[in-house]
Amino acid sequence: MGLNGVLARAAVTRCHVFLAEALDGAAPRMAVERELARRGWVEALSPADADILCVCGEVPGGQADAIHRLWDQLPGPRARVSVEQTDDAGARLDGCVAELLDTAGQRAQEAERWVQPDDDDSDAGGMDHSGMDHSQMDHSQMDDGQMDDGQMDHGQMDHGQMDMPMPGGIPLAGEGTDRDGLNLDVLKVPLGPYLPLWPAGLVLHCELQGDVVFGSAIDFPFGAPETGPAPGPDGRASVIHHLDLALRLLRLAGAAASATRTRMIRDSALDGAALDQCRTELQSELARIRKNGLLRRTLRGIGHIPDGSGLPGIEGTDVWDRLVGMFETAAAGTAAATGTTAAAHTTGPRGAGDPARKLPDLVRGQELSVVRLIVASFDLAPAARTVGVTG
Amino acid sequence: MLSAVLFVVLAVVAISAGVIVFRTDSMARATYALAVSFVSVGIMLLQFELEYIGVITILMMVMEMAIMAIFMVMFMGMNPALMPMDMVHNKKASAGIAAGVFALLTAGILLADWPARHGVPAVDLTASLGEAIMGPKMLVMLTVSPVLFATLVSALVLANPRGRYAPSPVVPVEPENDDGGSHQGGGHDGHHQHPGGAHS
Amino acid sequence: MNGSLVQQLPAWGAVAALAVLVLVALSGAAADGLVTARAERRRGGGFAPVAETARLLRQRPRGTVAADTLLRRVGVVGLPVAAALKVAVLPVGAWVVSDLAVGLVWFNTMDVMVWALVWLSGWGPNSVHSLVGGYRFLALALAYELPLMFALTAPAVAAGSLRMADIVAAQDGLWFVVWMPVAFLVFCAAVLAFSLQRPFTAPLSPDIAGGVLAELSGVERLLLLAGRYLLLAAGSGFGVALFLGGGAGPVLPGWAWFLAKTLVLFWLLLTIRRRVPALRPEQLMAPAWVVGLPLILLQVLVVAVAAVAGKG
Repeated sequence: MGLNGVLARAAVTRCHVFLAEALDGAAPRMAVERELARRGWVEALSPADADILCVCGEVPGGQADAIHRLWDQLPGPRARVSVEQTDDAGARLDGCVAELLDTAGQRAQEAERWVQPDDDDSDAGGMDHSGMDHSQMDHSQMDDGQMDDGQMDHGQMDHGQMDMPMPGGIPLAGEGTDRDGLNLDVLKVPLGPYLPLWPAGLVLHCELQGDVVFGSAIDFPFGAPETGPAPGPDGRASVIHHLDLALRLLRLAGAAASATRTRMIRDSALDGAALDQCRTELQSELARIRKNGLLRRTLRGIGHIPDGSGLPGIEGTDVWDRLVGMFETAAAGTAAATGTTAAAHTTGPRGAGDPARKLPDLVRGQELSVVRLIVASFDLAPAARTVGVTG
Repeated sequence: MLSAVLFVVLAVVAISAGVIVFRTDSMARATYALAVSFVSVGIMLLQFELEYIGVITILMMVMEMAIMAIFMVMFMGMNPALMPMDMVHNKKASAGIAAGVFALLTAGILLADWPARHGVPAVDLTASLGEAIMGPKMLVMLTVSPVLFATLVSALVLANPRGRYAPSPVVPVEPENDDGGSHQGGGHDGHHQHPGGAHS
Repeated sequence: MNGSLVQQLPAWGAVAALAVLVLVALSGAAADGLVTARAERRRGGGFAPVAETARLLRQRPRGTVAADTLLRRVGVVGLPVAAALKVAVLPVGAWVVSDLAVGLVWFNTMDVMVWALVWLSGWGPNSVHSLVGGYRFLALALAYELPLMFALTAPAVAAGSLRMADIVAAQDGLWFVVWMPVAFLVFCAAVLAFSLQRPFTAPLSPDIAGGVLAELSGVERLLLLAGRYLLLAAGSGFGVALFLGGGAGPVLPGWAWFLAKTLVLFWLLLTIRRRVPALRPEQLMAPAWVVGLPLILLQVLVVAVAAVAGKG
């Protein structure tokens, strides 16, 4: 089968998968994540790193544009799959493997992609095309999952903007005053909706000055998500949901080891392990996290919600408190299930006001990594129903 | 022979990289072209067996250019990868000055009465260089360098006591309407540009 | 203080050194794969670097709009090159590729090169995430570089030379790590930093979609990822030569001891970086300069006094 075949065989043992989570796609996403971990595959952080684009949940026809653009950014060999049910993740991914192994098919696909190659020019200001230019130039679309590759344009002197050239077809950024009164470039960057480790369906339209967010507005362009832990007699859904939130926050904080262990607890809860068992494990994990001084130092004091901000239950907490809260709520969920038939568990962050509304206030003046931690520290799913406001 | 060829190649690289600094329209490229020029000079110094000076030239210049790139981009406020930009200003005067300096230096090289070498280089050039610089002036160096360093740090601290990320009361208030402006709290100057130049 | 302490290898030595460096780095990547698999309760994992390499070799290059391709390529190709150039002055037992009289400064120069290279890799793709990553690295670099420079000063002062072979020879009897523990710790932290390993992964972190890596694919991505491991491996080698007595040890020949110590230090650093969470870029500066810098200056003072006293 030749060298290409050998490379392909070796390559598909470790596929990188970019997960695009549609609204209400949490359950299939978790199923895919579990499948990836089982196979030793990797979750890609950006489309450039991915072999497989996996859309988790159903994407209505009108919202497929952003997905299409993500797909356009995969370098190839590439495969695309949509997982809507939790039980067929493995089979779907196997289908991708077959597609990736089909070297001839991939070649043909790639040739099609390059139908209109522009002049490849690596000189100054040259444009490096890989057949993705058309998708990148369209900045009126706000639903671009990734930050646009082409949006790195910086400001321009404040005169004669109209007749300035637009290199690469990208208009220039504007400018604004920073908190010290200096005139700085303002770059508009939408975060979401298909960003890894990001609440599904949320778009945070940020104005960046350097790596600091100076203004933002939230949006749910695809409407309100319906999920969140389904209120039911069993606390299992709540356990899974809160562990999932905690795991996202841990991964963003760079605590990979803790995140891996938390994911395994979540997966065993998904697999139907006894909730008592889960409680023991997650309590020992929480104890470990509490002892982690460096992690505490990273999360302490950021995203602090002042008293009287209309978010009962999470006033006076910071990201660290909310991380601990996620674990505690999950632990409470296990207790609720093993005890008598408990009603929906609604203490903690859940059902408490509308944290999404507060996001623009909380992230203003923060560096991007802090912004991501703050966003991840909230349980936005149930609250999103009342949203659609700008900050 | 080989070393002569290497020397010529390095000299050509150094000069052409220097030319590129002014010919390119990208600030990042201009900065790192200058770095390449300096690195070539550093390697030429290595050829003279001035190892310490050669290596330290490379070290300092690469570090300096890495920092300079930040400042250039920061103060120019333009992305040169996108915005072609002329790297030459005040062309006539600078051309005149350049020609004059070149003539002066060349004349100096050609006309100077270069002394013949007497004695041999020290065994350990680095050590003798250190002796020459530091030996009689150790006290001065010891005083000057901490003072310089302290001045730099304290100037920075005075200029920006909060740091970039610390919470600050002067964070711009959020825009009332949806024009997406990034406004200074307290109405800095009335006429905000629309930052959405990106949408025009 | 001349070059008679070590033997300079002929031209094939450079190739051999490079091969050894790659093998050491590969062993680290494989070990990392195994440990990751074990943490996730899977079997295998040692094959991961091979699979990853195959995957990236097969992947097509992909560009972004208005990218500065030249600068991006310089950046990603430069990282493995910088690691290889570091190793050129590293005495492996009794052999060295180039017995430069200022080997220690050469090492320092190459790690300053990393500043430029990472920034260029972030600048080149013309993307928000990449650029933020590139700038984050410079922010980290400003914090770790000064302590690193003083940490390198300590062994040089003690040995009275900037030549790597002299520094190794000066540890005959007592390894520098014994009386320069602070310098050793600062050095190890800096090695993790310039090889972009946790806790210094802010330039590549998930919150900016992989940062510098966000837009890289195919061979370019492979070079940058390999560059990180190569830099870590090279840094471990220097840690052994500067603080752990180089090839000194009983029975076995020098090169064997050197490699064994390097592997142990390399794996140790890999283990440490698995256990710590990432630092946010603004979190490093204050500890590095307010705590690290005075400590390392004290260490250098102690070393300097000892060196003067020893001489006189």
